[in-house]
Amino acid sequence: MTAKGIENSETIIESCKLIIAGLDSQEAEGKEVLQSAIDILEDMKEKFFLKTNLAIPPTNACKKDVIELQLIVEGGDLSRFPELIDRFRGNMEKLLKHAKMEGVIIT
Amino acid sequence: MRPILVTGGAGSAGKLVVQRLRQENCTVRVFDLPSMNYTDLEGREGIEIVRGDITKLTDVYQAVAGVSAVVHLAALLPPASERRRELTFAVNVEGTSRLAEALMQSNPNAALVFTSSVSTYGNTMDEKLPVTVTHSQQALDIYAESKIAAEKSLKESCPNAIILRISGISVPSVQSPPDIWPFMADQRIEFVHRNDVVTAICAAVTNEAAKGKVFNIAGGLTWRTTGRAYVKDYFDLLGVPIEEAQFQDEPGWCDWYDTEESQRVLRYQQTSYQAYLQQLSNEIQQMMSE
Repeated sequence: MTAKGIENSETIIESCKLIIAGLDSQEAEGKEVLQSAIDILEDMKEKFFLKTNLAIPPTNACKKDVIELQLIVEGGDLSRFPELIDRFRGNMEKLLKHAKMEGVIIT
Repeated sequence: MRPILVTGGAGSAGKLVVQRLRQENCTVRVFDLPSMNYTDLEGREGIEIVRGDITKLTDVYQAVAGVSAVVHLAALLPPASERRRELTFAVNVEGTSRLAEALMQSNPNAALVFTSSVSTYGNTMDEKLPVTVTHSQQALDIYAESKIAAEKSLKESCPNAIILRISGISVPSVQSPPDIWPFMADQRIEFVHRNDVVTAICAAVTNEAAKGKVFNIAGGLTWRTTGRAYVKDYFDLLGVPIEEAQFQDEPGWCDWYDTEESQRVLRYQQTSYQAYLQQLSNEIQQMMSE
């Protein structure tokens, strides 16, 4: 069974790709945030953190953000886009903070 | 008051030792590489900083001058030690010899606490339990080899040296596991809580009864478990199936240890394994709620 954190990450990556494709040349800065999130999550996919319960709340929050972003991009009204992309960036930062697990100390 | 020298005092373990010694009203001299981060130490009352390199004789003599005792933590640890044999021996063996030589010249009655490792016993899977300090030593890696050589040098040159053979240290915070755990699934292991190691080190440096002795430092009866059970407890807290864990096919250096004497003299086993798991659980709950 796939861990919830990994499943969420895959959903976030797919949504980010769809949002970027739907934006054409608009919202260049927002597209950078989304691309950066894809890169980070692709890199993190094999990491232990995403297999743990700890990954569920922050990835849930990011998933909620990108689903909302995807809906407004599909709807064509981008007035809330900057606010939502800021929230997504904040939640990605929280995810990264939690994922920063130091190595096991063995003497 | 003459300070206690802590070599490697700016490292993660070193800072905890310095902090504890200060809580016990000892003055401390920290000796570490200039490249280390001294922000938690510099300018603090009762803490003196000497930046230098343990492989340089003049630096070592400067660090040792006027101290009442030494806690010697500075060392190259795995995995770095396994990549750089020459440097590992320069730091872990020659550095220790120099330190002992300088201390014997300036204050021959001073205690020197040396942090060694139970990994110096090598593979003890087939031995009678528990592993005592009189057990033969056989290195499985460069790090253990260097610690065995440093112990030998201290026994020959520094009668007040206190050798602590420390087991694997468990830190009560969420950490990434190694790709392959350094023991077999059914191997005996007895780790020790980080705070209890700090207690043992600080007790050893101030306790006359410890001088000249070799101690095993491990968690005690509540910490005796097997590799698989230890990892399962950790993975269960994180919600990760134990099947995700990979163990070594060959025995590592872990085992159960005779700590009767170390506990009698140093009184350091203060955190049970169950209390450690509770601390980890609290840490995870805290992270989940953020």
